[in-house]
Amino acid sequence: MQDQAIGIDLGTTHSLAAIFRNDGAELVDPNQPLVPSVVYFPANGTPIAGREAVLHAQDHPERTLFSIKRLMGKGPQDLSLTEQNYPFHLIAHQGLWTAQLDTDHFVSPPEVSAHILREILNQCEAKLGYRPSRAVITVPAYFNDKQRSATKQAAEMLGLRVIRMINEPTAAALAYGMGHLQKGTVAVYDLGGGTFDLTLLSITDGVFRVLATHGDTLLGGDDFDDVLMHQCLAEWQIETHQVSAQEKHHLRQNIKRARESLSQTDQVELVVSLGGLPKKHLITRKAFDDLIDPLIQKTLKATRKALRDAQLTAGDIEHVVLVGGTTRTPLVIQRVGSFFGLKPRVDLNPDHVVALGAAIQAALLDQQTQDMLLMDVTPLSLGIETMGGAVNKVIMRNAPIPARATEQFTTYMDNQTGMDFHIVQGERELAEDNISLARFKLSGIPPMPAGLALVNVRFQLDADGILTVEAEEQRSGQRAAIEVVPGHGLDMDSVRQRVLDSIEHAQEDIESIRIITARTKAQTLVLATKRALAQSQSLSPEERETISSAVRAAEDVIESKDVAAIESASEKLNQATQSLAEQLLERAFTESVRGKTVSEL
Amino acid sequence: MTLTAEQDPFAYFGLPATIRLDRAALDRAYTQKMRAIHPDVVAQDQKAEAEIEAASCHRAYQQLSGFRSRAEVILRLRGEFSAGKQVPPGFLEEIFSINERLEEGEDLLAEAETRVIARRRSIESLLEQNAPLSEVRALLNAYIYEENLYKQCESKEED
Repeated sequence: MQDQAIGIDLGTTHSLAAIFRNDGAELVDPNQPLVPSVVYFPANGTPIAGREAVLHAQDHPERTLFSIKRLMGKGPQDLSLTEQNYPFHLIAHQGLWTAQLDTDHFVSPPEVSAHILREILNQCEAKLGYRPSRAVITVPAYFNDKQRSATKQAAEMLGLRVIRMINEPTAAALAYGMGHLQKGTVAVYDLGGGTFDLTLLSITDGVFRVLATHGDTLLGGDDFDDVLMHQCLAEWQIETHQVSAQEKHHLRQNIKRARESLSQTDQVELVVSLGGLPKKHLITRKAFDDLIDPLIQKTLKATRKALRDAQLTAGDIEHVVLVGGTTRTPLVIQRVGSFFGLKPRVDLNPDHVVALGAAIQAALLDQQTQDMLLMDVTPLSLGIETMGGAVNKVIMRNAPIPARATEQFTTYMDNQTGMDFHIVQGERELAEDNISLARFKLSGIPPMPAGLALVNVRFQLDADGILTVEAEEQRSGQRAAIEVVPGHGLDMDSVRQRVLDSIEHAQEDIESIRIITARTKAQTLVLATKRALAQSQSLSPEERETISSAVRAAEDVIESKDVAAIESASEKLNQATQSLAEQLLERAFTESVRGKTVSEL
Repeated sequence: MTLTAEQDPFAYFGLPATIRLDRAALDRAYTQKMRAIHPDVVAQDQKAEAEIEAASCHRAYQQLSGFRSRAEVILRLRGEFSAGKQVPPGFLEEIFSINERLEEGEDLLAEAETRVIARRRSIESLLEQNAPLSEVRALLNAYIYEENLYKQCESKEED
């Protein structure tokens, strides 16, 4: 028999494992569930991960790696490290951050994560009596494909098979769904150290349906510390640049502790040493609340956007679940509570809830329990580039997966035997402004007049997020297909930016589309007229000249951005060709009836 | 023979083909189907087929959950061959004046919402009276315009 799959929350500061038992998920080691996400690499010998590694941080800061999750799948182009102040040395290797321990000793973030996972598996083996070989691992909702595959790579280094990766807020909802929330519309408010995510789900009869996700990748508890730090420095009349990186690190650690204790007490005195001098500042809960309120309002703005995407209002939400350590802040609980008019749920420990949800998904995929089902959505629209560079969206953003949709296309030139397809992802109206996923060609279309070929293009997006696109010409049965993985190289920052862009640029896009439509129409008309002119012998020289000059006039403005000019040139050309069209029609009719008896007509 | 999700989404979910659809009943039918056919719950050798059926089921659900797409399904089931472009008498003049007011920067959100709700009511009653399809189509075309107007006003509000 296969061993049981486990759930793992591979976190920034700590990691933990959970497993499904008879009627619910539980922590593998309830006494010491949290494994610090820290790895110490001694100069000689085996790397040490977890609690023991933390003990070496003081003496060997340059060999004790932490907060490695922030570096997963990232390179110098993604992240400024100035704020992070890692005490260990980082270099870029093939565009990705790598820690340098010695002149010839490098460790990649997936490798560091693998050591953390190994420690988790050791814990499992000690508690369960076997070493798990399969797991569901959670990732932040904003993680991009690179970050997701770096996570998967970490597991594979250990021979641990990842049966699925699920988003942390969704995992939290699953954990609440077991025994706590059987039905209703749920908002998961996930505020961590560095990021904010809001996920809306609908739960009916054990089916968990993700309705929308929104968030801010640059908003979290660290920002609370930032505003507090600036306020203290202002109080002491110290400029930020006068503080060394070392002191800043020391100050930040103390501020973080002060902030956390403000969740329990009404005031706290901060005492630090700066430039060799002791500095004190009394922080009251009230003053702290005033500082962070604008940041909390930002999370509520993202919340409103998610609600709009899901076509819901705050009043439709029946339960609010808080996830992430920063949600212990009293003002967060208060503001979120009054926004939804509900008391947020805190039944489950916000540090445990994600791992518990992962264990439930593992059991569901193993079909060990069938109590629940998780239904996810695709984060961005998928479409195809059409004539002139516009996008025809085939699968819309937030569509539930698996999804399937078919669009019909045709040829625009006579005897066209091939068609090129360009698959794009994003919300903008023009293909060039979206992400290019793949290109492929359908060839072997039998020659026929423009517009007669019928090409069905089918998109199929499966439960794992793999997209297959297939094109088939109906009359000849010619087919071509391609498989793409959408979301490659996309991170949630750019996902959000694209959504914002598409709203901001909507006007611009509409203008571009009007130009493209006008141009395409004019081009088609010019082409058709030239062809007809070449075929027709019965035109008078005057007629011929009138038409030719209308063609020239249209060609002159076709490349301009003046929609009115293009449209008016098309219109004039249309009028000029009226008699030509009638003649051609007449001739076509005569030809088609020639040699036929009246009764055959 | 059972009808497929594409042929008749109402029959597929075992629901009456009515515009005033019971949302709770639809959600129940949808989730019950999903629990039986989702690729995550079927045996390994049935997964490929399940991907296709689950996609049709999602689509049928989406069609029935939106007012406009639900009305389109009913018109098709009642035999509408192709959607005409007709609108109710006087509607074009109304659009004209609405567009003018929009250009002047007037906030029409509340008015758009009232229009959408009123239009839904009249479409519902026409469908229930088995009114001629072309009459329903005219109202539905007006509704499409009004719904877009509402969305436009709403997104303006957001910014």
